[in-house]
Amino acid sequence: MPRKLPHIRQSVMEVILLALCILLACSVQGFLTRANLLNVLRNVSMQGIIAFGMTAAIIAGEIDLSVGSAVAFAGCVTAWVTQFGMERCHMPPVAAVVVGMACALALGSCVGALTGYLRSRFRVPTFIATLAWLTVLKGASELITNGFPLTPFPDWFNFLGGGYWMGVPFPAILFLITFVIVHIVMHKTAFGRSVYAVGGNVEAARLSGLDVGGIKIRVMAIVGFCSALAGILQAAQIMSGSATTAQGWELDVISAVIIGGTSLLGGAGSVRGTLIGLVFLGVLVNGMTLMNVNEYWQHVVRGGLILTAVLINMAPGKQSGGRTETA
Amino acid sequence: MNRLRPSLFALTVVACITLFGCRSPKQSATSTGAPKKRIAGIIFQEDQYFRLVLFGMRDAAKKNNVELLEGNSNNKPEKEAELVNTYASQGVDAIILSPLSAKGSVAALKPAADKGITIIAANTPIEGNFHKAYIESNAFNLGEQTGKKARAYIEQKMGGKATIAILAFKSLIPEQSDARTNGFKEQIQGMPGVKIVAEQDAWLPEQAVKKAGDILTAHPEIDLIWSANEGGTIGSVMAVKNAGKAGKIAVFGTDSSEQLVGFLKAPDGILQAITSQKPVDVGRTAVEFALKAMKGEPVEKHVAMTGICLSRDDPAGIAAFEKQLKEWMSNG
Repeated sequence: MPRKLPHIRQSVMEVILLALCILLACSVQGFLTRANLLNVLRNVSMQGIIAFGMTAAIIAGEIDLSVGSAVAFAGCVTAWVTQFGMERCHMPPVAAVVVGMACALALGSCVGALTGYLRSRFRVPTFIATLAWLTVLKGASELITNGFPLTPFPDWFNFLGGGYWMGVPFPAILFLITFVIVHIVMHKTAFGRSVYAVGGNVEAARLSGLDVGGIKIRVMAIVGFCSALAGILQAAQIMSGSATTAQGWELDVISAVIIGGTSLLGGAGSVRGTLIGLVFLGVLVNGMTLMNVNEYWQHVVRGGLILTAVLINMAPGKQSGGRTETA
Repeated sequence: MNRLRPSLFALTVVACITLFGCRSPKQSATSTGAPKKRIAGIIFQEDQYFRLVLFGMRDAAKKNNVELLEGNSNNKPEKEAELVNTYASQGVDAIILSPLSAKGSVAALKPAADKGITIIAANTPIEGNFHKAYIESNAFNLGEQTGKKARAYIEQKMGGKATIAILAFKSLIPEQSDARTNGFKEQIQGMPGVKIVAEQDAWLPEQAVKKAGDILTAHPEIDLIWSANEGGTIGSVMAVKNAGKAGKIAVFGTDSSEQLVGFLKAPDGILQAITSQKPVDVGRTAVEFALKAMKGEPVEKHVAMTGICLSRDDPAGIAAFEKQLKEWMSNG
């Protein structure tokens, strides 16, 4: 059974977020408008899609530090395959883009699955393996783009990253769909319960007959898939595949997950918490931009508030979770 | 045996990568055995600008029959020192470096200069007098040229009135960012109907598209954005597009890329003008100056290259630049 956080602590972050929103609504003109709130949602959507996958990985007691490079890699692969398909194979743009996206998603998932395999088969900690992937994928992106941004995309491709569907930014729709899917998978399925069990006590999970290795492989593949999806949306938003995008995203994503109450020790946390953490970070950045706060101060305030939020979030009880043994 | 498996697996992977990497044509090209002068070219990041700087260095090295050793400090001072030490111990004749810090990089470079190695600083400055030359893009001029175009646009098409947002990179490289921004501001200052309502940092496209989107929400009255670099310009254009304000907000930018050239030609009319640097010329000049200095010939101590302004109203200029850029990219 998933170990749920105490109800009171689950609500603390929501209260902090609400307080922040009230503060900004009272002090910043234009904050509480439909356009701005949708803007916040779009701004957090790409990192958010990864954060939901990352939540599952962290609950399983693992981590993925390569998501920033994986985003850039997916964008570059999509761009490269699209360009290759259109120029060399004379494919129609739609087909070339679809093949490009499929390749990016497949490669992203495979990289994640391989990390999980290395974890379960050779006991290579995901911390180390994904640190290696971080540089491998960055280098691979530079190799396939030759250091220059690739811009083969047809105009309609921008819809995926910058378009609207029924007045809502399209990435935000995918973000919400991803949230619902991962939430259901983590809380309503046997697989989700297994992820909590593996992250809580891997030895107990193994003794109870769970396929620990298989679960870790699947969880890491999910993060890889989410990163690739975000990479495609990112490429669509800026209409190019570039090796220099998404640098440092891993820290933002992990921050959102931790702010949302997920234990770095594994076994505890929720996708809903991550959603709150993401929105908190998004509102914070948006609010400071609207107030035209000096960039240097933005870094200080952001870091300070993240630390404060985590401390308050953890105050009612000691963070639960923790594994007794590693796979 | 089980314990050996991870090591064998890792070794196999590393061996495969090494073998694959060793197929690089650049390495075989330099192993001709002919006695050549050797110059080390050290950049600090792998982006389009530095790729073109390297292209310029390679081009000049090839023309002058010089062996070029390429390094990238990856924005890490310790890696920069390590590269300089390695090249110095290999006995290179010159080191062309884009220093990470005007003060901090002195400690690594000075001992190399003391050994008689010719030092050229490219793109970013270095303190002291041990280097033979410093070659850079004139940052103030980059902002100034676009500023002139923006001023003309405001006067001719906006009735002399504009509400402006600025995206810069002050928290990344303060001196360069401020110089470009001041160059732009100088051109629009004194215009009574012009005011700057937002000034933020965002130098990567994905960062800038969010930041510009937020700014446009906070200040719906904005009708002109200027960005201090390529990423900021791309993000600003995409943010205007996403907000459905094409034709209502004009974007002016800095730097160049295939994508920005495409924006200048796009019928949406968002991007109006950019000022490009001349990275290839910076690289070429650095190598040529190093060779001259090695021969004892005099070289200019400081070269600040002005940019090339590309404007929507000059399609011929855009076409010529695009042709050149594609040629560099295919060879770079």
